[in-house]
Amino acid sequence: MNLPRYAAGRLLLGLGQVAGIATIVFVLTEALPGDAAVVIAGDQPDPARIAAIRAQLHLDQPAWQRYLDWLSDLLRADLGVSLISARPVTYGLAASAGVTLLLAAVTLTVLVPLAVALGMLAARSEGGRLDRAVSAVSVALYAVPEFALAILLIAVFGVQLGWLPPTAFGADLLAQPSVLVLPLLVLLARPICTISRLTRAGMIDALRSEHVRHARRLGITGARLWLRHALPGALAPVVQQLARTTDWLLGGVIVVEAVFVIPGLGTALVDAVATRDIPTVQALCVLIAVSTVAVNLAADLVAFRLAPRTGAVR
Amino acid sequence: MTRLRTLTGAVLLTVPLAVAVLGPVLAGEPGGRTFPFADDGPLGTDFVGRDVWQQVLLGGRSVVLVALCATALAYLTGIPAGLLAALTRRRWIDELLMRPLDLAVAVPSLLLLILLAATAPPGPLTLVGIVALIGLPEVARITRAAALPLAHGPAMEAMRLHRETWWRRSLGYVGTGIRRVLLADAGVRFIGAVYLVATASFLGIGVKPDAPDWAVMVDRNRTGLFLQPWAVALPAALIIALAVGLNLVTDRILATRSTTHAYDPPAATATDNRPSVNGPLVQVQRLSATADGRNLLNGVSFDLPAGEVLAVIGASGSGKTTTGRALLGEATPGVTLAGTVILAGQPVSPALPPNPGTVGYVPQQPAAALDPVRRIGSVLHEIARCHASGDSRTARRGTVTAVLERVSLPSDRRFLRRFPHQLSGGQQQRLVIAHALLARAVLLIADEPTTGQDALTRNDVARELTKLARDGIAVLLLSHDLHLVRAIADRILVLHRGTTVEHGPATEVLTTPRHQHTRDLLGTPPTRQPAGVVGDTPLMHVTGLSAAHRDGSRHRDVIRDVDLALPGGQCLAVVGRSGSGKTTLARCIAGLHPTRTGHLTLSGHPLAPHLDRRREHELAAIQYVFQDARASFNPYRPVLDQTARPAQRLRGATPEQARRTALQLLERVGLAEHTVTQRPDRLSGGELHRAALARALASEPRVLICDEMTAGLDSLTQHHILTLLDDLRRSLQLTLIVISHDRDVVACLADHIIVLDHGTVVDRGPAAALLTDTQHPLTRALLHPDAATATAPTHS
Repeated sequence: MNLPRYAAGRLLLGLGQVAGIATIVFVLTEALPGDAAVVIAGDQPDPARIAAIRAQLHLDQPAWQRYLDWLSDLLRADLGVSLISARPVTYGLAASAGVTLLLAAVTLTVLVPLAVALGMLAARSEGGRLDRAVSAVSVALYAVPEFALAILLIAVFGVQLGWLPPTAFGADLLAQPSVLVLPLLVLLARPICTISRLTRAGMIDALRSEHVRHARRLGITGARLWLRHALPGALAPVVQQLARTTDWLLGGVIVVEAVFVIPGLGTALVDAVATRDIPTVQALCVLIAVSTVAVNLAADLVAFRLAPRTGAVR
Repeated sequence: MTRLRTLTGAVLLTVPLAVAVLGPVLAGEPGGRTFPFADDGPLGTDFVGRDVWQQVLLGGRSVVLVALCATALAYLTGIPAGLLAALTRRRWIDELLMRPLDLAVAVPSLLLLILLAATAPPGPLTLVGIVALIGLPEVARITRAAALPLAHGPAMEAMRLHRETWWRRSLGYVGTGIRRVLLADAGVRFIGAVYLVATASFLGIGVKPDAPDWAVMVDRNRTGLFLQPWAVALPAALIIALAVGLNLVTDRILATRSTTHAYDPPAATATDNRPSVNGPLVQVQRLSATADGRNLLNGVSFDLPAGEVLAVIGASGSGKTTTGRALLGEATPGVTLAGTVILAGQPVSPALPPNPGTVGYVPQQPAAALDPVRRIGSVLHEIARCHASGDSRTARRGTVTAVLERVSLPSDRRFLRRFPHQLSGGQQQRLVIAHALLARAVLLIADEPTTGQDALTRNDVARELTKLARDGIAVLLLSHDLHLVRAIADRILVLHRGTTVEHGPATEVLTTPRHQHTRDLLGTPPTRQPAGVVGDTPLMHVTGLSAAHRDGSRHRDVIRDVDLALPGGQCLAVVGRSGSGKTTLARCIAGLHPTRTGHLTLSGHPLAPHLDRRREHELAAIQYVFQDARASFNPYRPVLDQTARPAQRLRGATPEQARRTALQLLERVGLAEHTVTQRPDRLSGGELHRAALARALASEPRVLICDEMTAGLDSLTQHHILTLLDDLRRSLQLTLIVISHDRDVVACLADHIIVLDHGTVVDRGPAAALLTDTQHPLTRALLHPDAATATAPTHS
């Protein structure tokens, strides 16, 4: 199978996934208990007023009708109006998305070179002191929940030593980069473990493989052998894992945002769910789903190039 | 180091687990509330004025319990779903089960968690359900992935051929097979659940805001971090200890004992200063190899001058490959080499490998030597640059083109832009040789270059290697393909259990072998005895048979409109190139492959195309011996047990009768009782081939289908099996269908031959006629007695 053909098939599948996720999201938000109209009515829970709000929000229409309307709005890139702020959802989300993107971009920029280099160094000294140290730390660190690590870091560096600001509350992230250091450390902890371990395992396999030995016998040695012959074969699983990390950075860093008070997409989602701001919840979920599908699509295409024989490694 | 790590893990794990289990017992009655973040009690008070120490004791239970229940629930639902998807032969059930799960995996888990938690009342049960639901798709996918190769492999097909019960197939075989994978995964899955439960509790999802829980404590007491650090630090530390301890311990369980060996980089030497040497290019003196006190090689000595072909022959395990690798300056880990190897005037050992590029090695699977990720042109240019760094680009391009021409490969841009997997097996082999030529190799080692290749490809290999030798390259051929050795070897070295038993010029060794073992190896294959009593009435009829393979969503025809009449008591050989549809034809007859069109009859009665629809006596009448005998046995049950089952299932024998039948049959094929009461992994390849034969005979079949039974076996074992098969079919009045691309097998057994090409029968007739005198070029090329001199027809 060649690349364009594979890409087309994969793209169709991605579109199907987005449609499927959109449906799941709609069903789940329908099932959310509580009524936005009651929330908005607030202090004056007068039945007539609630009914008026319901009519205004089209909540009195049947679910399938609203589902179809919502889908057609989505196709026109109209994400609806927030029930709480009464402004288009897009306004609120633009700021949050910017913060999340910044955080994700910084994390990935540090993560990829660092983790791959660590993995390669560990593979180079397989069984040596560095290898054992890296592997012990990564095994240990891997399962630690972010909030616990974050609290510990805040307690030590933010409170006890006072070196770094404990939270990013009210700070401008770009103007005051020091507030990003602790969140960045927490965000890096888990991905760095998985990716360096995968790189190490892949490199060790690759270095033992017949084709690398063949290249070595032919006189290809040193950095060329490592970077051009062994590394590409080792990277296919790494790319897949990197896609998952990116998904997580784009949609799931709710904990880190909550601990460090960073107004990103995760915070926006938690707030929206809490206030039953259905259009915002739906828009956020679709946004996260689309980015997830897009990232995985890109990763599959890269993996296809890295493992052309087996097709995509799923 | 690992020991220390495991110990640390165990200690780290014990503390939070002990607190979680014993804490609620020790905590006692909750006391009254005082001021928030005050200094009352051993650790002060929390945000609502409760005693922190008591809260810590109470707070561990929920994390551990919820995570345990959620993991158990995910497994209880995920394993059946994954097994069903893997075992079903209906594609739509698989799709229906797995597609939604794929979708669920694509949604970030915390997003799912938040949405799901908002729809249900908070509480531990909700959290269990949600965490299980998030783990379920992964469990189902892992189960399916582990079970899929088992559910459609040869062992499963062998069981279906004797209608093994569903329980023994799915739980006995697949269940045992996936057990280890799932157990290994359970630890990881539990760690994931702990992580998720703790994180959810921290975010206030699925728990009451004032619940006694470590994660909730961390969240709620954060505001008082400056006033009362214990209320945050202690629960956070306990959660971290739980996670880290669990991971360290699980990692220890998962870690397989792997022998680490330092890789020594090849000595960096200039590639161009090849000393010119007088005398033989390769000198090997008293080369010995030992592993675990066992001698693999015993003082092997030989010389190999440039331009000559030395063939090293011997049965499997005689030390051929070890010899070849010693010349490369390589040894399998655990093997120690002794003796001297001198290549081009320089000593070679694992510590001192030959100058890069001097030795080319063509492995049995040439694809393994090719970088799967890179276009072949880019690698060729890289090697050229490495060995002629001074040349200009155009000069290098010329070198590459010249080398490709030497090995009869195209050198146009389109070809160079291909990936290795887009080449045929023969092309891959020649490409590896081209690499060696580019690196200016003086010695080429070819390891079993013709195993599993059809006669036409074998001719190409012979021609290629002869050409190289004529160009002044020394060729070391490791092979048990005697046709190839006869065709190209100048000298022959015969190894027997690591010792040289004979060494001399090829003509001499081939015509007047001195050692008994050489005579056995070179022994002509068993000759055909005249067929016994032959009933001329056809036992089986095949009319208009077509079949296709599914390639993604497209169907590719592999068998087109094949007609056959199989006379009772005779042997039909099906020959053809690789991929011509031989195996598919045989599988269609056995009911293992769906047919598109066509009818089968057995003694005049129509036969259902699918084996599940055949009646028991029909199943018993047609049995199949798989090419890969090892893969066709269930690795978890004794061989004897598996040999007895067909008699029990298809002949209605009692377990005792079946066992006796099986023992008789196994003895008949030369296997003793103490051998067959073991599991298959204790038996050698040759023994398993015999056992597979015995198992197929246990249902007293009338038609026995043998698929490449002797491929990959050395000539001695091969001859034993052929003699046995011939003997059995005479005494048991068997009708045989033999699939092979080995002329010796066909010549020994066949009464009739059909030749397949691209799924159609291109030639057929009595064996005697086709073997000696035939008009069809493909038949001639495949069955010509001297494979190396036959002219191959152009590839279509």
